[in-house]
Amino acid sequence: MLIWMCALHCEAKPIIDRYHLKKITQSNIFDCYQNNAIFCVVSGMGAINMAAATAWCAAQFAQNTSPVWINLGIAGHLDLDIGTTILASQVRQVGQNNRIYPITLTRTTMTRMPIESQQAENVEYDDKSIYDLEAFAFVKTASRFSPLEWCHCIKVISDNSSTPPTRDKARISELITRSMPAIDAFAQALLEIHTDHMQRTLTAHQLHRFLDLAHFSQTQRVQLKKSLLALLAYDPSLDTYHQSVSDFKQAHQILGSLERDLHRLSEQL
Amino acid sequence: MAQTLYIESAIRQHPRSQEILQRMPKSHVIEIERYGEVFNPKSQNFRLQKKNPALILSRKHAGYVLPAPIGYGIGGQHNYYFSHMLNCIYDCRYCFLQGMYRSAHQVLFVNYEDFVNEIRHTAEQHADEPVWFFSGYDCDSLAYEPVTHFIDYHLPAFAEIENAWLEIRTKSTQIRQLLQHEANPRVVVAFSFSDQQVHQHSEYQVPSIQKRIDAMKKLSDQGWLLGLRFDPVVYHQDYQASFNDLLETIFSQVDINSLHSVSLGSFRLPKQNFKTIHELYPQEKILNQPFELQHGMVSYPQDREHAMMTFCEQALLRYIPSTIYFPCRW
Repeated sequence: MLIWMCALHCEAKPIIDRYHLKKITQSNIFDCYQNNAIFCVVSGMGAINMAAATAWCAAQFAQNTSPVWINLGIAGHLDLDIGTTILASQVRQVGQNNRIYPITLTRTTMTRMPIESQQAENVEYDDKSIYDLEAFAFVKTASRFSPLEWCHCIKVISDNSSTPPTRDKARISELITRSMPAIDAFAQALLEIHTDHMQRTLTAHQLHRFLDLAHFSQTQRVQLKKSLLALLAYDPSLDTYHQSVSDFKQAHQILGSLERDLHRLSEQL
Repeated sequence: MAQTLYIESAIRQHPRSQEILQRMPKSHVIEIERYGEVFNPKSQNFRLQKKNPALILSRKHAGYVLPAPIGYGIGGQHNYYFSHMLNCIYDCRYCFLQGMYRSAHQVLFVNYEDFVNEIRHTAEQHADEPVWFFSGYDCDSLAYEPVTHFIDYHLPAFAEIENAWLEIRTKSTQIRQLLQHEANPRVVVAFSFSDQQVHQHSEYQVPSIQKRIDAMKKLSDQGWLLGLRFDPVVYHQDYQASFNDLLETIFSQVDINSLHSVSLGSFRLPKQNFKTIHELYPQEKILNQPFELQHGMVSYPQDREHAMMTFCEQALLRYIPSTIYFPCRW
C-alpha cells in the first residue's frame, strides 16, 4: 500500500492523474483518492492539518499493515532552481531540536537535502535547508504507523530568493508534473521492496482458517501465528499444513503437529 | 560502499573523518549532531536497513574498553574487548548483532586515540601479565578496513604496549593492510568459519570458505599467528559430515604451526536477543529448530548440544593439540 499525502489539491493533481485515482465519495473529512492499493489524501495547509490527515488515514486504511507514505508538495530554497526535486534527508521543525532522518533504501536521481518545516510561509531562506510547512508533522506522525524506511518527503522547489512563492495552482501542478518521472521511479522502487517485504506476512484469512478448527487461548494464538508464519516459507498457501491438522479438535494437537513439521523441515538446510 | 554517510558535526573536520570522506566520494553526506539520532529511534526496521546500510561517523565518549563476557577468552586471565565499530557488513542469521541494535547502519568511532589510551591504561593495571583485547565483538574487525584503516593505526599502537595481546576476529579477506606490516607475535588474526551448508544458507555476503583459507595462507606465510573460531556451530541434519569436510578443507591447506588457538561453541543467544531476531526473520530455518532456555540463554536441548560439542571436539582434536583448543563455556 502506498499513501501519498499532499497539503493542496494542486499538489495532489499530478498523482491523481498519473495513477488514475478516483475520489472516495464516502470520505467527507479529508478529500481522498484511490486506485487499488494507491491512495492520495489532501490534508489542507499546515502542520496540524497534515498530522491530523496522516493519523486519520492510518486509522482508515492501514490498520493491519505498515504502508509506504510519501508527502509530496512544494518548498522554497535560497538559490535552488525552480523545479528542482528534493528528497528529504532530514526533517526538522523550526525552533525545535528534534530531527528525524527518513531512511532511503533505494538509489535516486533526486537531490537529498534537509527540510525545515516553518510555522508559516517564510521567504528568509538559507542555503542549508529547504522550507516547507508540513514535512516534520508528516514524518513524525507517519512514523508512528510505519518504520522510517517507509516514510518519505519529496518537495519540488517552487520559490527562491528571485522567485516569490506562487499561488498559481496550475503552475504548482505543472512543476510537480514535470518531476513525476523521478518521483514515480522512486515510489515504484520503494513499492517493490515493500511488496517483497509484505509477502512474508500472514494474512488474516490464513490465520482464521486454522483458528476455526479449534478453540485457541491467547497464548496459543500467538504460538499458532509464529508457526504459520514460519511454515509460509515451505507452502505459501499453507494448504498442506491445514490438511494435516484438519482432523484435530484440540488446539494443543494442532500446535504440536505444526511444531513437529517445522522442526523437521528446519533441520534440512 | 555505503551510499549514505552520516557524520557528527563535531568530528566533520577530524583528520580521520576527512580521509574517510575522501575515500567515499560518491556517498551522500548528511550532518548530524549525535549518532543516536539516526541509530536509536524506535521506528526503524533492521531487516529493511540491512539491504542498504549507511555508515555513521561518530566520536565515542566513554566505555572504550570493557571486560569480555565470560567464556570469551583464549587462555588469558585478563580479557577485554573494544569496539571501534558497531554492526557488521555481513548478514549472518545466527549473529547476536541482529538483535543488538535497532539500526543496521555501521557506526565507526573515529577517535582511535582515545581507545588506545584506555587500552594502555587497562594494560598497565595488569603490569607484567598478558592482557587480551578482542576487537571483533560488536563488529567484524577487518571487513570495513578499506574505509577505516583500523589496522594501520592499531598495530603500531599495540606493538608499544608490551603486555597487550590483540585478537582481530573476522570473516573477511581484507588483509592487504595486515600484509603491509611485519607480523606481530602478540597479535592473533582469528577467522570464523561455519560449515559449507550453514555458510550457503545463513551467511549472506560473507566471503567463501576457500577465499578465507587463502587469506589465512597468505598471513601464515608472512608469519602472522592465526586463530580458528568455530562459534557458533549450527545444527542441521548433515552437520557431522559437513563439519568434517570443513576441517579437512582447512587443515589440508593451513599450516597447523601457525595456529595460536582454536575455539568452539554451539549456537546460543540471550533470550531477548533470540526473540528479537526470530521476530525479524520468522522463516529462518536455523531459528525454527527445537531450543531450550537455560540460564537465560536460548540454546539447543542439552542432549543435542552435548552430542554436537563432543563430536566437533573429537573431530578437531584429530588435527590440533589440546593445548591450543578453547571450548566456549557459558
